[in-house]
Amino acid sequence: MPKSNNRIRIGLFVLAVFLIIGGILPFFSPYDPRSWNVVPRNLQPSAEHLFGTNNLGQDTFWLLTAAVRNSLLIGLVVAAFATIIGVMAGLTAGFLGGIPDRVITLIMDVFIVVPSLPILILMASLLQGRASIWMICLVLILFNWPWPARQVRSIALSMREREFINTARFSGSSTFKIITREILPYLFAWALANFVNTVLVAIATESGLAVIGLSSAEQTTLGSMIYWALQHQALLGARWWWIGTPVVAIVFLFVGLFLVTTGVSELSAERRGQQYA
Amino acid sequence: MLKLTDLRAYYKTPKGEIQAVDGVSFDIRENEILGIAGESGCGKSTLLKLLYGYLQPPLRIVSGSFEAEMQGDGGKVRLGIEDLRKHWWKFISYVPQGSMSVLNPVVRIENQFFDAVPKDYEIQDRTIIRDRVAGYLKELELPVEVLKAYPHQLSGGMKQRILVALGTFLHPEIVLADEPTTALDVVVQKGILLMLTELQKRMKNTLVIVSHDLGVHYQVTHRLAIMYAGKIVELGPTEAIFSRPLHPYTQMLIQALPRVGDQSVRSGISGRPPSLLRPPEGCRFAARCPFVMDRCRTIEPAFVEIEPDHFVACHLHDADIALSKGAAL
Amino acid sequence: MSNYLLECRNVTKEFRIGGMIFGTKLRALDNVDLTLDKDKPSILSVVGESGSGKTTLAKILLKLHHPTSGEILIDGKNIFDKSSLQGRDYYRFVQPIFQNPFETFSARKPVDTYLFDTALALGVARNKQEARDKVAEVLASVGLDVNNIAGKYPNQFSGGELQRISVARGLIPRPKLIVADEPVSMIDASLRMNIVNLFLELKEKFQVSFIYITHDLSTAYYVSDAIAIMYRGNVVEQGPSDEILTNPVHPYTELLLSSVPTVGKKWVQEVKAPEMELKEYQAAACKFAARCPYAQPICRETKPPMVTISPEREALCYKPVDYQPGVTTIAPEKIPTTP
Repeated sequence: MPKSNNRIRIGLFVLAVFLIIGGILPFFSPYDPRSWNVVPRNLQPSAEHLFGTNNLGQDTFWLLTAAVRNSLLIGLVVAAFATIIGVMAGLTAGFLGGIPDRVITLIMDVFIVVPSLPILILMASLLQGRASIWMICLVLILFNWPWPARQVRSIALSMREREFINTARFSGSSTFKIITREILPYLFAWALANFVNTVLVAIATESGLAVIGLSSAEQTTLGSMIYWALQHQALLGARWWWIGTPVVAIVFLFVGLFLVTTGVSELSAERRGQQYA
Repeated sequence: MLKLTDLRAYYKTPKGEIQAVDGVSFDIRENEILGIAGESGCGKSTLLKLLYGYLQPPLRIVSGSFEAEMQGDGGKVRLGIEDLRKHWWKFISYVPQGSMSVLNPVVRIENQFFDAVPKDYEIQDRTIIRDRVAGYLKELELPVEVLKAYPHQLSGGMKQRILVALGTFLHPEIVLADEPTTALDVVVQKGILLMLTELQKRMKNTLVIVSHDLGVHYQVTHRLAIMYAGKIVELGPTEAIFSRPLHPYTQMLIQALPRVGDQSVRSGISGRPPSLLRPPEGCRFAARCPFVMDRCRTIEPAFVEIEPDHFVACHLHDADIALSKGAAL
Repeated sequence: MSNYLLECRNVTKEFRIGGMIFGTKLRALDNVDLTLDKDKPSILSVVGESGSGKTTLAKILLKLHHPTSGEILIDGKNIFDKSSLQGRDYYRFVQPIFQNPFETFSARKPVDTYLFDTALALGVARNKQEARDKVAEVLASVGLDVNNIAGKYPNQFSGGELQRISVARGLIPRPKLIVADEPVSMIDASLRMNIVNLFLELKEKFQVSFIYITHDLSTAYYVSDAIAIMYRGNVVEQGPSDEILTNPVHPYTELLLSSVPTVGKKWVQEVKAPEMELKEYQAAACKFAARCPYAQPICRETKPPMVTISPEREALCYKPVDYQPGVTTIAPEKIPTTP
């Protein structure tokens, strides 16, 4: 019990920090993250500019808050839709069976087998940086819903045969009620862990694309910060604060997400074990 | 061969100690079939695990003694409970319940036999072992094709028979069977129980059967122990227990069995056994006993021999009560 | 209007086993005929080993499976006919009791939610208060106090208590028929009588009939009015239970009786274990012939007839008709009499 609790606590703490950075602080930003040359360039970190400024004349700290906000937004939007669609599809396929199952499984398998990264790269390079954030989100959702769907489907399949489902039927419960009241509780903890994991995957994918310059040019994200820093030789120019800030931020963000995901799955495993006794 | 004296073994849990086996004294003799009967949760499975030397935390022995004596190379060898582990399969073996999930599902049956052979067994050559096992299966009237099969291809009854074969093919001196026929139909059950008794007759070893079904005990056992809430409340030759049950619980158990051809009204036993976490003072059966007296609630009855080899723990057989009953007659 | 509460006519159920291409068909139920009278509530036991088809029959009666052919009529109406007895109407008529009390309820919900749901969904109560009263009433009729049950989860009860709660839930819509699928198999032998006596009580009090599916002949004898013995999908003997169990006609019934571990009678014979069970299902003749001590050549060649032993009793066997083909009434000298 204690072990996973600590894990979750630390992870949540980290995530909370990021939520503040990305959710609250941007509103206080005195600069528009998309404008350049609003401050003197290449200044070292100081009291006025906490993380210094970059070659484009932007305050790194405030840029970071905007980047975190956008990255988190992408992560949350993609995870939310992918999980909802995935759970619904998986429940339908698993519980109803028959033709709906075959159709959904086919679609699921197509999206699992086809690798998403090349498609994304292809799409991004075709659109030459004009790809909007929402289009990238859409593609990410499209490629990420099958994973929860698959697992929910197998859970729903195994649950279908369980006797208490029959009891619920003979109690007059409708199919919808059975799915929500009988099956969903079993999925919940799992779906939560999966949700957080998808956030991680989405941010990672988008950042990966951004670093090679294929993401949207409109909005700043953590990945695009790294991209611009690389473009302007931040590494060579030893401007650590410019390249370091987003890199460290990404690392911490992922660590936080990872801790929460694994912490939740450990917690639910422990709970099940305890319930058995 | 095995002797338990006032053995107490508890499970340590966050809620407290579950006193699963609480002051049990009896012995297991050569060439006999001993039955252990009782409701679910009375501690009989734990007792069997102890007999097997399967002592894993959170289960631990709190007090009492456990002595085992086995036939070694140079004569009789004394063993403590920790030593039993080294002699699993050969001296003592365990036939578990629920043939469903005990056999490794991805391993063929013959390999499960190979895995059962201890490392220090004199024969390690697989071909020889396989021939021996095949011969043994034939003796048990099991089809030899079964060796190449996987567990899921076999029916419940067949799996249980394989488990019996596994537990006995090295001819151990003691075979412990935990509810060997519980999930099975009557016809299959009879087959397996008769198989076990045949084996015992032939090998002249000891068989200990745990079951909640007294009918099974009547058919198969020589001696019977009745367990309730962690204690043995009656112990004696099976025939004596069924014709002259001394403990009210035993009487109720026997009465609760419906018989074909007998339409007399029967009732099950009402109430529940006491929690093993905080067992009540005095006799643990007092709450459900139709003959309960004042002393039953405060003083624990002693385990005494009333007839030759027939023991009971009940105040109804206290010297003064028995005398007054005799007087009333 | 039909005279029968329940009528099974020629019910057959085939399963495909072994895959789409090379699989074979398994006849789990083979032309099963059963009836339950309407005028008086009764308890019919369906007894058989595993593989006899009794569980399949239970599932079909509960509309959890569809028969391959044949009809099931409840109160004269075909239950698989789209126009009659659908959905909740059916659940008001027929209710189940399942074998494993711990699986009957979800481990994640308090047990009483099922009872409340039943009361509200099946129109027995109009609001929460009425539902609560109803729930308290049925729990009392199975010997339980609603205050001890409220809000508790399945793992806080014993198997026997959960089965009682399961029975209570089934009683809420005042069904005419309760299908109990091995309701006491997972309960200790000494506690089975509690549940079985409850069935007897409820039969009288609530005028509800039971189909009691079991492999335990002793409780079947104790509780039922009629009994049907099943073997590999066929009903091999049926009729009044005390007659059948004290004077069996079918050799399989004799085998079952001799296998019951009864106190007072020691086992005598050794029993031969069936080898390849699939072969028995597919036998074009009597499925029991391979194990039958009375089998004759005709038993292995053609299907035995359903022989009328008495107006209420029949058996699927050649023995009572002296192994003559085409005869369906028992030879007078073979009629079993009570000793």
